[in-house]
Order: sequence, then C-alpha cells, then structure tokens
Amino acid sequence: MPDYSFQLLMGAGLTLLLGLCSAVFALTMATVFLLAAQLKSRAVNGFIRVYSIIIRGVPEILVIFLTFYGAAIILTKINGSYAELSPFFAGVLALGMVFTAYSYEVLRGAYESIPKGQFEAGHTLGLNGVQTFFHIIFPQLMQKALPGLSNLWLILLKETSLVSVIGLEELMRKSSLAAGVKHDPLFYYCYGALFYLAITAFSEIALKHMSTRVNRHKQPIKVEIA
Amino acid sequence: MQDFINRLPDAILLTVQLTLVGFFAGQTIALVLGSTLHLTKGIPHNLLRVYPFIFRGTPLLIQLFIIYYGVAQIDAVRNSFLWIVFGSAEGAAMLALTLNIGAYSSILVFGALQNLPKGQIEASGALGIGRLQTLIRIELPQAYRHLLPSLSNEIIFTLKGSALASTITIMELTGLTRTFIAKTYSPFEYFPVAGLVYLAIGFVALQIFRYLENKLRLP
Repeated sequence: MPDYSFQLLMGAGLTLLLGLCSAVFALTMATVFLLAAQLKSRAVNGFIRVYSIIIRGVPEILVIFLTFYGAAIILTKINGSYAELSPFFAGVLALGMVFTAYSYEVLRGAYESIPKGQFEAGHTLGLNGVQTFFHIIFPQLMQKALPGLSNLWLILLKETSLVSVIGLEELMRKSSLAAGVKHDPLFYYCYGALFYLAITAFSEIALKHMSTRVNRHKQPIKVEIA
Repeated sequence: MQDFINRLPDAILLTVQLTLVGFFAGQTIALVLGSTLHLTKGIPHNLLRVYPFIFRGTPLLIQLFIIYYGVAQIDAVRNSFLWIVFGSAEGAAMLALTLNIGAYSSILVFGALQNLPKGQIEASGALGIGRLQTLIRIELPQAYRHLLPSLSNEIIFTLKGSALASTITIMELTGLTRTFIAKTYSPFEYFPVAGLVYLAIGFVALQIFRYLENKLRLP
C-alpha cells in the first residue's frame, strides 16, 4: 500500500459524512420549502423563486467562501472576540443551501405530477392533511423524485471537494497534503481520484438497489394461465 | 472598492473566456465521441466509455490539479510543445474544463442519438443513404434540437466550473473576489458584486439558448 493510504481513507470517510449531512440538510429544507409553497402565499413563493435563481446561478465555491467568511464576521460580532464556524459545519451549511434549491426543483416536479385525486381520496378516507402527506403522497413522491435525487447525490459528492478550499481535511485536501509532502502530485491526485471513483461507483450501485426497492410494486405481475 | 471595480472587467473577460473555450471545445469532443459511441458496439464502445466514466466520476477540482500540478512532473510533457497548454495555469484550466464538459456532454449526445426512433435509420437505409450520411444529415440535427435545453444547463455548469480556476492562481472573477476579501476581510461587500456578475453572464447565456430554441423549433 502506498504511504498515506490510511490518511486518504479517513479523508474519504469525511467526504462521505459531509455529503450525507449536506444531503439530509438539503432534503429537509427542500421538504420545508415544498410544504411552505402549499400555503400559496405570494411572499413565500417569491422568496423561494428568488432563492432558487440566485443560488443556482452562482458558483458553489463562492457560496462556500461567503458562508465561511460571512459566518466568521457575524460570529465575531456576537462573540466580541474572533470566532469562526468549523469548516465542516460551514461546508454542510453551504452545500446544504445550494442543494436545497436543486432538490426543491426535483421534489416540486415530482409533487406536481401526483394526481389531485390522491389528495381527495385521502380526505375521503378521513385522513387529515399531515396523514395524507406522509402515508399517501410521500411514498409516491420518493418514487418519482428518486432518479433526480440520485443525480443530485452524485453531483453533491463531487462538490464536497470544494470544501477543501476552506481547510476541511476531506479527501481532496488529504490528497493535496500527501502530494505536497511526497513531492508527487501526479500519483497522489490520481490516487485521490480513484477514491472518488470508488465512492461514486458504489453510490450508483446503492442507488440502483434503492430504485428497484421503491419501484418494487411496479414489476409486472406474472399471471399463469393454465 | 475602487481598485476592485477597476480590475473587474479583466476578471470578467477571463471568466467568459474560460467558459466559452471550455464549452465549445467540450462540445466538439461531445459531438465526435457521442456519435462514435452511437455507431460502435461491444469492446470498442466500452473502451470509449472509460473516458466519460472517469471524468464524470471524479470532481473537477481534482482533475484540474492532476492536469496542472501532476502532469508537470512528466519530463516528456515539459520538453514538448504540449507544455504550452500544461505549463500555463490558463491552459490547464481550459483543458480541465474542456475534458470535464466533454465527458458530460458526450453522454448527453449519445443519449439523444439513442433515443431517436429506429425507423429513421431504417428508412434512410432503404433510401440508399450511407450510415455516416444518415448520422450527419438525419440523426444529428434532430438530436441537437432535443439537446438544446440540456446544453443551456451545460454552459451554466461550465460558467460555475470556471470559478475553480481561482484555485490555481488565475485571477478570474472568483480569484479576484477572494483576493480582495483576504485583503480587506469584508466578504459582504465583494461577494454580492461577484454573484451579480455571474447571474448576469448566466442570464445572457440562457437568453441566447432560448433564442436558438425558438429559431430552431419545428413549425
């Protein structure tokens, strides 16, 4: 095994953790946005639209910088003396905010494709709004949104590398450090890239399993004709 | 702030330059590779897919670092004409963007070609049109018409990717903004300006694509 393999593996673990935390944050926020959009309030919808346009049109690296330095300024004001957000939390916050916008678009598309009758049926069965949402709408939402969300996850995994610019020692930064120490950037960056390839390839397999599971009832029913 | 404003035009120009070169060179790769993927089968097809697999499976940032810091280690490259590209930060950034966008777009072009009805190929075969002619005259024009909306996404993606050039010392829009924030420590002054410029460039690009879509739409 090449030197620093263990360090890179730890970095890969942190990359995965950063990706997962950002994804959970983004999905939660996107669901909140989706529910808020149901209020049909002009102000709320306007806010969501502007947020979505701005955050999707600006480079992620800029959002990460703004979060990190911006949070440092605000925290310093509150604290009195210098304070900053840890690079990990700044990363989760920044990537989470960016992917909230993207996942909201995916969820909204899926939500709008669910027939109105489903809500009415839930109501007729005596379920309230929340119950209808979680028992009837949500499972269908996941099924329709999964392909879009899978793509976003693969993009998010790669974007986590940008958090290395604010000093988080995830896979990208670990590769840089190893490359610097060993004076061998070609080997160590390629080695790091191999870890990323492994993570994305593994994710693709996992997502394929999820997709079969979510769509399990869609499999054709075999009817035996005697 | 005045100093920042003075240097802004050059930075914007560099960002636009990186984006355009990356996008158009990437689309050239995509056109050739996407078509070749469409025409090949079996082992050659799978071998050709290795390139998009690698470039779509790894972050742009690490690709940029391999090209800029890694390749410089190889003596053969340093002593050849290739050094014009690999030796300069701008050249390396353009190459990384090109290869990255090329990989993503190849798969898009390939997918669009595969989704056309098979009857079209059979019909042109029956009319005695060769396979290559069929591709150029019948399949590609239709595929690109379907592709236009995805290509507008790709150019935004390239624009945002060009911001990574700042990590290898290039003073484009993000690089300039970072430098001024490091100097003055006031992120809330410079970030909104940079953000607005990115939004404006993206807006212009989307308008051009919208115009093209309307122009090329079938009546």
